[in-house]
Amino acid sequence: MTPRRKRVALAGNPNAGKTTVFNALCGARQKTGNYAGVTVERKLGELKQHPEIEILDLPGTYSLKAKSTDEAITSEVLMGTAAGEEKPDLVLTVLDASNLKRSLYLTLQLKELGIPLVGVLTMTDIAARRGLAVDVPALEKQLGFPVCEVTMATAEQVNELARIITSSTRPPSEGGATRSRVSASEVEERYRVIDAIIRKAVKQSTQPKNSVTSRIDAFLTHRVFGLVAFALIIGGVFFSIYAGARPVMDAIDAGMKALGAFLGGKLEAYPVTASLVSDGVIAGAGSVFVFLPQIMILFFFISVLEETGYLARAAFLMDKLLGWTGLNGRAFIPLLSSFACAIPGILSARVMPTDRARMATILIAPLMSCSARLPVYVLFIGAFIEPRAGALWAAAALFGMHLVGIAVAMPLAWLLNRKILKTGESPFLLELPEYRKPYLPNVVRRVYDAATDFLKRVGTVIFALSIIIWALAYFPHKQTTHDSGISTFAKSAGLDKTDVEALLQKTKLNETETAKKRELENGLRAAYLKDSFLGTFGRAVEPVFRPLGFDWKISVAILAAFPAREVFVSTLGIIFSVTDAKDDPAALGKKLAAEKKSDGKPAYDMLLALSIMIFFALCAQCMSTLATIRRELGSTGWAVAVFIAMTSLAYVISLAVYQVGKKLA
Amino acid sequence: MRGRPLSDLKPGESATIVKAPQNNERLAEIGFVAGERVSIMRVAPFGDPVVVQVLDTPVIIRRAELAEVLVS
Repeated sequence: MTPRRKRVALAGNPNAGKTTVFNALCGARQKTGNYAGVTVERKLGELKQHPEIEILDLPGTYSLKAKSTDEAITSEVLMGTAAGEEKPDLVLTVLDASNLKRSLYLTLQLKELGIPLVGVLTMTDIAARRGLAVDVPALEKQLGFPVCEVTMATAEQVNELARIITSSTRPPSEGGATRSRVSASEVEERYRVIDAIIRKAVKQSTQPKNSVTSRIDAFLTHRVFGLVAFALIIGGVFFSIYAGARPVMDAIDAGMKALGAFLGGKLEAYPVTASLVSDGVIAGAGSVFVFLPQIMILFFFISVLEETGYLARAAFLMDKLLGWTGLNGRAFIPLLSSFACAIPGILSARVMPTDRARMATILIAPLMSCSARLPVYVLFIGAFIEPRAGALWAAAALFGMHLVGIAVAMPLAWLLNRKILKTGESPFLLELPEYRKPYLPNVVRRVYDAATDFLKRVGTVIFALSIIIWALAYFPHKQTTHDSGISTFAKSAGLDKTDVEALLQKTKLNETETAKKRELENGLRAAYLKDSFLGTFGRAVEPVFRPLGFDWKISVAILAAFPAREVFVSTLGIIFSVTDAKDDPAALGKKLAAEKKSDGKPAYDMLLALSIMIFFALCAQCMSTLATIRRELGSTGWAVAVFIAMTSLAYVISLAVYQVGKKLA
Repeated sequence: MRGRPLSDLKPGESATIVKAPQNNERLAEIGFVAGERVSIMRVAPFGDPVVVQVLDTPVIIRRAELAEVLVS
């Protein structure tokens, strides 16, 4: 049997810098941020160069008496009541020097548990700016255990901490469990002890001047300027995502088309393979891949907002807007992270103070517009809104699409909180962190991780689904389809069937013949698509979506997107690639705008684009999200309910928008 | 000494806590205990929540929760 590994846990207040210490000790790359509640799960790592020592990063808490699911994880692990786990051998208690009293409250509780402790002093730079100096030896003397400063996480500081960890060998003594009932006087008793410690170990040198943070906040949390600044920041983010990504996106798009044409030419002798590569892989997965720049810009801004500490200010400004729905103020952060992806948003709902408040947050999180919807918005806004209204309105439309989800989510939250779950009032507390310059490596890492996640999705799920969709759109590819296509063309052009066949084979053509041949080829491709498995299926389901304005192509793409939203774009890419002659390398958006109905009118317009985007904003088209809801709530019923509710909402609201829009036009 | 509720404090005003909240343990745990100085720093655009300075750090909190904290 291998000897039991030494277990070291990290504990501390929210946003005290636990994960930064964890990353430094383990050489790990866990996500950090500048607000409370970034870590909601326990994370395991091992000490660099010491595989025999495991380090446990725990969600932050103010007290061992847990008030929410994430805090419960921490107190159960530390008190040794977590299932299948023994008490840690050593606890690193993170002491935030700028917030030392509050850090010491938890530390005193930990001391009562009887686990050996090591103090890890962070944020001494912020404390120094406030004129506070911590006397480390005095603090050690007062607390009775070693304290190590790691504010900058320099190699020297981290090595010293690692040395203390490896050299401490005391087995955990059987300490008394914390009493489950803590009276207010007991809390006050602890604070009296803390005051005595602080008097001996902290020196207030100068009276703090008006700090930079409070000067920035005078503006950013101002009743008027604060709201203006908030609108400008969010507006700026959307404009950058929309307009900033264009040139890069166009370049990628052109590259993909050139690659398609090149490979198509090489594979001319193998028509099925050629179609698989250029229509399936490149037009399918490739048309999703071009949205990489948008994803990177979005995550860049999310990361900067997280790193600076602005998110807590946004929560402060917007709380009243959440408040009327009965949503707890803490719901702001899970909901905000759902704009990147609903899955981390749902997980971070663990910071919610009550089970019901958590449930309400989880149930509305998928309505926040996630980054997977971005390609759909950008595609349709670029094709139908920007050409008419310009880039500024296009960016406004993109912002508007993100508001659709919120506008629907808020009344639903009210209904859930006030009528269905009857969520009681629950306390809302959020510390306002000091502003911090974004730490560039963290920003780069976040963008890099988002980009690789996106590329992995494109390379696996979307790639595989693209091939399936292509096969469904290509086969059975019967001779009878070809024959009837030829005779239809012959009839309409007043030609003989054999002449038509000859035209198809002919290589040296004059101008009118070239145009004729292209018309014929496109007609044949359309006929093949119509007779394909996908076409047959599409026309069968079309009546269901007709009232929303969707034709069979859009309907098929919508259905294909239920496992993952991006498949909508790849499916349209495939459909419009197989119907187009190879020498037309227009981007997908241009093809959509150019598509004609049989009577020659444009097949798609702005109203239809709006109907499609609203459907996407509201529909539950993500298996992973539903699976996460099921796991987090431990209930299949709720996951199914979310699916049905969101899909019906999407259908009904798109229907209303399309029908009302048609009446008005 | 009788106190008045912390929620009645005006922005910029500071006071000393005389009685910790009895039914909101978390508030006491983060430093709302007798003897601590508190002040209302900022009020949100729509009147709620407020930023309270407690233990020298700012905390966002809804007004309703401050009613139980008595200050003088």
